[in-house]
Amino acid sequence: MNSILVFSLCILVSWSPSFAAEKILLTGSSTVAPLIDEIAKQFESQNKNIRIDIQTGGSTRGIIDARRGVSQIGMVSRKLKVNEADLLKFTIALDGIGIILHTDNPVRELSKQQILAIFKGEITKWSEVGGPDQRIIVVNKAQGRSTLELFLKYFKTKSSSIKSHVIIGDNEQGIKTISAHPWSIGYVSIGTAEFNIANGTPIKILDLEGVKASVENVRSGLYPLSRPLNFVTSKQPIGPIKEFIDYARNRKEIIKGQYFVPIN
Amino acid sequence: MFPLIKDKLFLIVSFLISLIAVFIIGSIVFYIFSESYSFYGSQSSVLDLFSFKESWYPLEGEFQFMPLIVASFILGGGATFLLLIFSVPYTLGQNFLLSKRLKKAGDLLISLANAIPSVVYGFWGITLVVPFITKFNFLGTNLLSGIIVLTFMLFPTAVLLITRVIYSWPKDIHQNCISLGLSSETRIFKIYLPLIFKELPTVLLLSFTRAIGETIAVVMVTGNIVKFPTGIFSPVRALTSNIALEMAYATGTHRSALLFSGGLILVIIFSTMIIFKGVGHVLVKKSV
Repeated sequence: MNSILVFSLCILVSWSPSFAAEKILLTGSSTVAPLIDEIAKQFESQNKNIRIDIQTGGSTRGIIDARRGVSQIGMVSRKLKVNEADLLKFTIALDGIGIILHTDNPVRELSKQQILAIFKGEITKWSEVGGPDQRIIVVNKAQGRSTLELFLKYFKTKSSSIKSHVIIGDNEQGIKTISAHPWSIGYVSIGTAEFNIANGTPIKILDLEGVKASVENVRSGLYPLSRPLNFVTSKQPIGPIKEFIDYARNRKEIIKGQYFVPIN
Repeated sequence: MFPLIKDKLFLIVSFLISLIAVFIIGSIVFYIFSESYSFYGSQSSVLDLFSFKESWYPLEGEFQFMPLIVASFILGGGATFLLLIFSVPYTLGQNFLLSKRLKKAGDLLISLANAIPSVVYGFWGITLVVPFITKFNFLGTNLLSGIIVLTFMLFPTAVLLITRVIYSWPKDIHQNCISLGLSSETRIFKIYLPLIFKELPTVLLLSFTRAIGETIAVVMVTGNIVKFPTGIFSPVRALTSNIALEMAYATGTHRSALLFSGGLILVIIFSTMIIFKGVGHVLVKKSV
């Protein structure tokens, strides 16, 4: 029994953080957190004396914590509201999602209302939107995924009113599911979709409100189904905090790896 | 003297290792149940969690586990049933009907198939099985695809286990059969098959618990809709898929609800183990 105690103590001790380090606390959006987690790991390995703690709790918590000084940086996965202008904003990356169909599907265009009606189960056949007489397969994301959140917000609806046939986890699984079902409709991050189209996957991205869904249009802000991923601080960042913000904005590879769009 | 010390040392080491194993399993069980309990406590009515409603909207505070449990059972049960149908005749054929060289090739193939990770079966499922099913039903990701993929995934292990059973028989059993002048049909159906059936509960138990616990292959091919299946072509979501789909982004009550489904899987596996062991003993006793 003693040796087990010693063994578990050893594990505990080896896992506990070193105490000498300077700490940066980030709180807020769970969309931004996984991305920043990756970046922070790299940053910590290059700056041994800085430790970065990340806690989630939604964009609103990010704003409140940064304002009160509870956290050094708040993470916010939306545009700032007018009454939040007291905070300093640093955009880290952009997120955009595209509506995708199989390339065998002759439908070229869908209006915002048509897409919403399809996802709500009011339109169930492609023939109702100018396609062939085939049943529509609605591919939706699992609850908690940020893409679902953005999708719901854009269409001003909620999860329980969407009637889906397949529920998927990550973007790759979505693309596999849609390429296996010629009469399906779904949505994934634009970065992932463009990557797969370039590799010959039989999918296509629909234009939305007349704007072509592309990484460029997400970056320029033209594409409507997109949002910025922001850091907010209450005062002008200095020292390691400023270093980390600059570091995070320039990690293009990690940002792309998480299917977000880097700025410039 | 020396071998005695060696024995003692070995005893101590193996005792310590088993203690550590017990400790680790204990901590997993403790963690899952303590996390599940906090969810259990946060819900106003526990019966509500197991009602026969079909709503799973964690962000809107709706948790219903019954459709997930039913789906897991049908997937596991269906795969185990198909496995029983296919693996027993296959193993008998490979061991008693094929030539020595073919038998060796078959053995090698089965061992190789055992090493394939489940995500590969999932990938195979979504690129081949799902498009094939769409020829019969408009939706390819459903219960049937899940059962097919699981059956193929579990098949090599089941064959290997049954082969072990065959190897464990006394060698003279074959010689006795041959010297009695029994035809190969009589040997297989009257002697070998009953002997295999005696050991089947263990094989089926292992397959069933593996099927219930399988996650990644199932997530990719079953469609993951929280609904009671109405037919073989209904999309379903298993308990394990639920965790894999939502864990990455879950916080608060949502997270503990997912750990609660982890606890449910543990309870299901433990109770099937106990039931199967009991049933197995009764069956063996009867046939002896």
